[in-house]
Parts: sequence; C-alpha cells; structure tokens
Amino acid sequence: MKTIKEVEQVTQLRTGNEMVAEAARAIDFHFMGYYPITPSTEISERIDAMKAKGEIRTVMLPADGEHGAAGACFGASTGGARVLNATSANGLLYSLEQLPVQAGSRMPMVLNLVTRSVSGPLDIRCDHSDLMFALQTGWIILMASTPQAAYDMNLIAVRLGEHPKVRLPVMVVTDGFFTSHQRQEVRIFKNKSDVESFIGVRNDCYTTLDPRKPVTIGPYMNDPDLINNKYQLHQAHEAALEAYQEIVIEFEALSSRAYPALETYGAADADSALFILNSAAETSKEAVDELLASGKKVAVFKPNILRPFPSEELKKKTHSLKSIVIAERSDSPGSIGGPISHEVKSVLFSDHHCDIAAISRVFGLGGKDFNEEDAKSLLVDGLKIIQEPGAVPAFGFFGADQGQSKALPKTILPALTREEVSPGLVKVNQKDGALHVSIVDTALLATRSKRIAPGHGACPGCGIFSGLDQFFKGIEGDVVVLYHTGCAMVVTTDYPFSAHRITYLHNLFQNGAPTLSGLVEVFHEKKRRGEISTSEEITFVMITGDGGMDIGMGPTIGTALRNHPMIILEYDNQGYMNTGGQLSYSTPFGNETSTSHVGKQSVGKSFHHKDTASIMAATGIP
Amino acid sequence: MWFFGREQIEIPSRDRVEIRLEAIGGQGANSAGKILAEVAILEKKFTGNHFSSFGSEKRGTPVKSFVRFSTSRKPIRSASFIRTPNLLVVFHEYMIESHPEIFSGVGIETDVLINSAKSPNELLFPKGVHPRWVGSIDGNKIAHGQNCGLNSVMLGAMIPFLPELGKESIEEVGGRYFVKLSEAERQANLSGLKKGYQGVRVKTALPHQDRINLEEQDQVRLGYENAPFGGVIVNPGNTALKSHEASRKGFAPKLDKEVCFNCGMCDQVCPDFCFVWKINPASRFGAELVGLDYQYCKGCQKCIQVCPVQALTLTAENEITELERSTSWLENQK
Ligand SMILES: Cc1ncc(C[n+]2csc(CCOP(=O)(O)OP(=O)(O)O)c2C)c(N)n1
Ligand code: SF4
Ligand code: SF4
Repeated sequence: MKTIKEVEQVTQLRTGNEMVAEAARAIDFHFMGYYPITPSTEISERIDAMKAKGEIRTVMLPADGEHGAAGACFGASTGGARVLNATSANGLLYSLEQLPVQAGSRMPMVLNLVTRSVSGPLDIRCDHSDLMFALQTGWIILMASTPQAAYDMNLIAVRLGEHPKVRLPVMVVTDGFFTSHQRQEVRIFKNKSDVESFIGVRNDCYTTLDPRKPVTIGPYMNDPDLINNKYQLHQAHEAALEAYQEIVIEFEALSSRAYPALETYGAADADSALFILNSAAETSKEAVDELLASGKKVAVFKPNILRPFPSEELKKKTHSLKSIVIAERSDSPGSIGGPISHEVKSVLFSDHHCDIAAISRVFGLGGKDFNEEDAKSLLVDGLKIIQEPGAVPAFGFFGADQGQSKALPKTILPALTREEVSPGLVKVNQKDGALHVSIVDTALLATRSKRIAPGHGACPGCGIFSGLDQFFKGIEGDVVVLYHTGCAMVVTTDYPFSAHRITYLHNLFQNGAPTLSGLVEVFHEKKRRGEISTSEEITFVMITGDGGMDIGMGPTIGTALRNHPMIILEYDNQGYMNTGGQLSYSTPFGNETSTSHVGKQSVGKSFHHKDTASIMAATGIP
Repeated sequence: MWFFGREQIEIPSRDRVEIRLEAIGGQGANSAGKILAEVAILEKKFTGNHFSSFGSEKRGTPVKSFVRFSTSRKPIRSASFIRTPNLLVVFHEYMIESHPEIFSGVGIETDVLINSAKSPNELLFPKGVHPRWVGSIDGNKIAHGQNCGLNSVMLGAMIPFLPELGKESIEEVGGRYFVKLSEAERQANLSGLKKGYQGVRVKTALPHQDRINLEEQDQVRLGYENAPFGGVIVNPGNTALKSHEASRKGFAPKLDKEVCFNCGMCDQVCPDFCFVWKINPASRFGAELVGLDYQYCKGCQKCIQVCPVQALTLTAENEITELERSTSWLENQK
C-alpha cells in the first residue's frame, strides 16, 4: 500500500453548519437544490454567499419546497453532477417520497440533514425523529457528532457514494443547534487539491446527458424484477460498509482523524455501555471519564455510520458487556424503544447475546437538554441492572415531567361574546345588485375587542399584526382562523401561550388551504345534519405568508378551484422571514436576501416577483 | 485583583469556566459569545466551545449563548446547555422579572453581571438567588452614547470577571471582529468596549438582594399529567401575561393626553396592541384613548410617526411616570 502523508491543514473556530459550507467550498459541487428550514438554512445561505463572491461555481437553485428541491437534485444527479442539498425535520419529510427514487436509481448525491424534531406540535430544536424516517430510504447515513466531523463526513460522503461498487446517495447527519450552531476548534484542508485528490473525479456509467448513449432511467418495473433490484440495493449497502472502512483509513492518514464505523470510548472490557447517537455521545464521554475515574467499567458506543448499520463491529465490541443502555432522541410510539434500540437488540440477539441486559431510553425530544449528569445517570442505570435485574425499567422516557399538579393555568381572558365580535361597526347592504359597505371611524374601530391579544413575540414594528388587525376589524361575527407556518404563527402560539382569542388552527404551510376547506365543508355538513344550529355563522380565514404561497401554491390553487366559502389572506413581506430572511418567489427581482446575495457572480434575486393575485384570479374565484 | 466601586473583586483560579449570556434577540449575545470563544480557544489556546440557543429567528425573543473553556486543556466535549454558570450575564435588566428562569443554576460560585442603570446593591433578584459578585453596567446609555452595539459594552464589562482571558486579548479579538464594520463603527464599538470595562461596578451580593417575589401568574407547570393532549392551548389570549419591555432600547412613546384628540390612528398601526380605549360619547369620535400599556410596547415608534398632532413623543424611559405606566390592557378587559 502506498504511504499517505498528512496534508496541510489550518486551524479555525467554526460551527457545524459553517463546516458543511467549508466542505462544499472545497468540493465545489455542480449544483445545490434547497429550501430553507431551521436549523439547516445557514448552509445554503453561506454557500450562496460564496457563489456571489465567485469563490465557487455551484449552481444554486432555490426550490419552491423541499419536494421540488429533492426533485431538482435528482434531475441534476442523473446528469452526472455532484449535487448537494441540506434540510431538516419537515423538510426531510416533505421530500421523503423522492429519497427512495434517488437511492433506487442509484444516483449519488449528498444531503446534509441537520436534525430537528418533526411537527406537530412544531418544534425547531433537535431530536432524531426526522432521521428515523430516513432509515428505510436506501440512503447511506453518516453521523457527524462534532463540527469537525461535519466537514470530514461531507468529503467522505462524496467519495463513498460515488464508489463504483456503491453508487448511492449519502446523508450526513449533524444535530440541530447542538452541532450545527456549536463553535469548536477545527481543522480544514489548506489546499483544495488535497480535497480533490481525496474525493477523485465523478464517473458515471449512466448519464442523461449523452445523446449518443441513450438510457431509460426510472422504468415501470413490477414483479418478478423488483425484488432483484432491491437485492442489488442491499448488496450496494454491504459493499458500502467495506468501502467505508477503507476510505476512513485513508482519510485518517491524510487528516489524523479516525472515524471507525463504531466508535467506542471508555473501558475496553466494559461491563456496561451506553449506545447513543451523535452530539449526545460526545457529552456522554465526559460522564464516562468521571465514572472510569471512580473505577466503574463503562463505555460509550457511537456509530459513525448508521446505514449500513455496523452490525459486525457491534458484535465484536459486546463480548465483555453485561448490560447496555440504548438511549435515543426519538421514539417509536407504541413500541418499547426507539428504532435504534430495536436495531441494537436485534444485533445482540443474532449474536446469541440474550444474556446482555438491554434497556431502552427515550431522551432529549424537541431539543430538551442532555448534559453530563444526565449521561451519568443513564450509565449508572446500566450498572444497576447488572447488580439487580429489574432494578430499573426496561423502557422509559428520561426527563419527561409530569407537571406540577392536575391543575391547568387559570384562564385569564373570557371568550369574546357575540356582542363583542359583532359590534355593528361595519355594515354591508345589497342594493341594485352591488354590495355597499359602510364603516365607522378609526377611533370607534379602536374600541372594538381585538381577536388577537397583546403580548405576542413579533419583532418590534412588525407589519403583520397591524395588517391582520385592520383586516379583522372589518369582519363582523365569529371567525375561525387557520395560520400557515411562518412568523405570524410562531410568535402568537409559543407554548403554553396563545395570543389568539378566537379558535385557531395551524397546519404546515404546504397544506393550510386544503385543511381549512375540509373544516369549512364539515361545518356546513353538520349544520345540514342539525348537529350545529342553522343560525350559527362562522367566517373561515386562512392566514399565510408569501412563503406559504410558494410551497403551498398547488394545494391553494386546488382549494380555490373547488370554490369553498372561505377567505385566504396572504401577508406579503417579500421573503421567508420566520427562517431569517431568505428569498421567496415574491421577493422583487434583483433584491438581496440571505439566499440571493449580490456580488461579483450574482445579481440578487434572479427572477421576477411572483404575481400571486393574477395566479389566483385565474382560478375564477369570486 | 480588580478594584471597582471601592470593592476589590478576586476571582479564584479556575480550571473550567462556564459562561452563560442571557439576552433578547438582536442584542448581539451570540457575537459576544463568539468573541469570548475566540479569545479562549484561538488566542489562549484553551480547549472549549461556544453555542447559542435561539427561541426562534425573531428579534425580541430570548437568546442564550454559552461559552465554556478549560485552562488546563482538558477536552471539552459537552454539547449541552450550561446549567451552573461561573458567570451569568444578563443583557437587559427587565429580564430579571420577565424571564426569571434565567437565574437557574446560579450559586455561590456564580458571578452575575447585569445591564442596568442601578448600582449593584440596588439590584434585586428572584427569591433564593444568591450569586457571589454582582456587577452592573449602564449598557444602554453607553451603547447609545457611543452609537455602538450593546454587546461591545457588555463584553468590556465582563473583563473583570474573566481574568483567564484578560483585557488585552478581549480588546484585541474584539477589534479584529469589528474589522468587518466601517471605520467609524469600529471605533465606536472599541470605545464602547473600553467604556464598558471602565464603567462596570462590582459588589459582593448582599443577603437582602433576593427580594423579588414574582407574582403567581399562570405559574402552573405543565407536564404529561396536566397538559391538554395534542398540544392544545385552552387559555385564549394568555400572551397578555407576557412582558416585552426588554425589547425597548431605553426609549418609549409618551402620550400627552392634552394634545391627543382621540383619532385612533395609533391603534391602527401599533403591532403590539398597546393602546387601551374606551367608548366615550362625549369624545369627538365617540371613543377615548385611555393610555398605553407599556408591558407590550417594543418601542418601534410607529405610533409616533403616525400621530397627526404629535401627542406621542419619543421619550427616555426614566421620564415616563409611574402613573403613565399604570394603564393596563388586561385590567380594562374586565
Ligand atoms: C416543509 C417545511 N419546509 C420549511 C419549513 C421552514 N419554514 C418555516 S416558516 C418558513 C418561511 C415562511 O415564510 P412566509 O410564508 O413568507 O412567512 P413569514 O415567515 O415571512 O411570515 C419556512 C421556510 C417548514 N416549517 N416546513
Ligand atoms: S412604539 Fe410601537 S409597540 Fe410601542 S406603542 Fe408605539 S406602535 Fe406600539
Ligand atoms: S394617533 Fe395621536 S391623536 Fe390619534 S389617538 Fe393616537 S395619540 Fe391620540
């Protein structure tokens, strides 16, 4: 074997997201298709800024949603391009359908999953409920537990996915906020040429861009062929584990950083181990140090690759174990343990290790903090169960709180009365086939009870709420609202608080219009059945930002074409504000946003302001 | 050893230092944390890390920023929040009451630095909070005077509490950080940093200082036994219990009732629904403006811009009287 020299590296202080962007700088992907979602957004923002300055050549495609982003990436990858995407939580779920297409067609690309809890309720913090949906997609999944690993794993991902025996898309997983926003000392390859020679040149046997070699990608395939196709996928994963082991050895020689398929930290002859993913494993190492110092034989097991699962490596490491605690930032409701816990237990079982006491814990959901003390207590549970089987439950939620009492917080505001919602300040008369609207002065309108209470958390000077209030001032009678995901939703419903004095419903901003149309139809059906009094009148209003009208445009058009009696109100603040000011399709041409930088190579937003009103008018709504 | 406000502050030598910055989005706590981490890790070659936790991307929502470092270079791997800080920095005095949970984990080894015009002895903490040293700095005044970021001032004021990092290094790294700004802004921030360092007053915490008895509003802690399932909130409009005074930057609108002719324009534009009204047939338009509830006012000045007769003027906080502050939106709903 040729000897490999360590490459020159520079030391910096960087976050996980910054390191993904640094890797992208070195790799210079052909293409990135993306859609903003916290906490992964910063990756595309940074890469867009590099592009604007002319530091990289990557084509940046701001899609209309993650489904579109994944489609764009798939298309680009069929052309033999190096392709990147980054997402989190519902972004991953919204693109889920596309992921098996990518893997089943054996098209390598890299997707950075910055983990976050899946809705609902909506939570922007880290857990692995999104990642767990990815396990069945056929993608390779690499785990990056530190900002450094975020960089390294992206380089490894390109090489591994494009390996001739593998040819698979690769997901690189960092923990939202805990790693994506954590700043640590890191080392970056100084010379781009070193990165280039490590990742090599992409070589595709099939491409959609060679008319002299036409191919059909994505055929209609039933039995008896599909099972064979899936067996090939299985074989690719087997090859991937082997290829991974080779690649990380080479990478270690270049960088002096080791990424064994299964990393173990602590006693080599441990009595008990904690099997735990990503950043929480790093935290747990501090607890292991403490317990080792007091003579306890414990260890942390942390897989650096989750798909393919390092089963053989796990078997090799379990021989001294008497117990194992499998702790996960995800649950599989209705099953005793999260998905990974079942996977670990099945490996032990297949190795005839039924004598190891295995217990499962769900922790840290929705970003709930997990520190060294918590890790210690999980490790101690593992030791207790050796002393006394049954000493601690086999499954449990760690850190769930029962609450203070059976009491609910006292209601501070009474429901608005019929008189309050209908003060008679706005009058509509029908005369000569036209509607005549009369409205009182602003002063009297100001005395009207608002449907939104003060105390919401919008930025100072936010235009949404004066706009909404003025709109609501014009409606007499009861109103039920549905808000799309976005600023107005987030700042008014910060649990356990709600600024809404009337009934409010949220659905993800791809899907608010259909949701409200279902409710409207049921309201009228219940009236017809006599389940709701025929005299009851409710105005149904959907509130959306301009972003919701990008990702949710299709369902909104569908809803409008069906012509339900409801109102859709879009507040157009010309960007995705909730995620920190990225371009939306209604951002004006040439405007600079965090994903449409102005620079040597970029002119701000490169396409025109979307005319939502004309699009909706074309549906023929009244 | 540092001499400030007649008291000398002595920080024992420490191997591991954990700092927690508590701020409101937009006050620059994340950048301040980043600068501290750069000093600790890149300059001093300590091990360490830094990260921030955001409630959302909004300005005006609470932000926590954490910095930890080890002077003996023990590996620091923990990616968790800092629960028992050595130094707690509060970027706005209002947070003491509006977000009392920021004091969690404060113990006898915790020094607390607060942005406040009050002296350290005058500051009060929630019951049971007993820090070691208490520092105060009139950050808003300095930031306003120097036209610089509040975080630069706070950074300067932290210097006495962080002997491991040292004044020179913090100034140097701060200076490098400000290079991105225009020359005038750079100078402003550098002098803000210096003024923060010079202006900080430090005292030992006094036993009487934990006097704030927070009102028992809506204090029931929700958990799996008592929370309505599905995440449903059954308490409409309870954001009215929240305070957003910490979003203001030392100024607020002041209402002159003599000048106001009750036109209602301010109510049309106020995003935070601060204005309290009542029906009054004797009034010109049939409605009367009672006042504004400062609990919700974020100081955006939209009402000031729109008022046709200048009945609202931008005024320094301390010139708004208790009486003016006493209008309560919530009380008026009853
Ligand atoms: C499927 C999915 N993708 C992305 C997001 C992240 N996200 C939440 S709100 C938002 C932007 C909303 O923009 P807009 O509708 O214009 O409302 P604004 O925030 O500007 O008020 C985005 C991108 C998400 N929640 N779900
Ligand atoms: S300054 Fe802004 S938030 Fe305060 S009362 Fe005026 S409009 Fe409302
Ligand atoms: S806009 Fe000015 S005059 Fe009109 S009600 Fe408000 S404070 Fe009074």
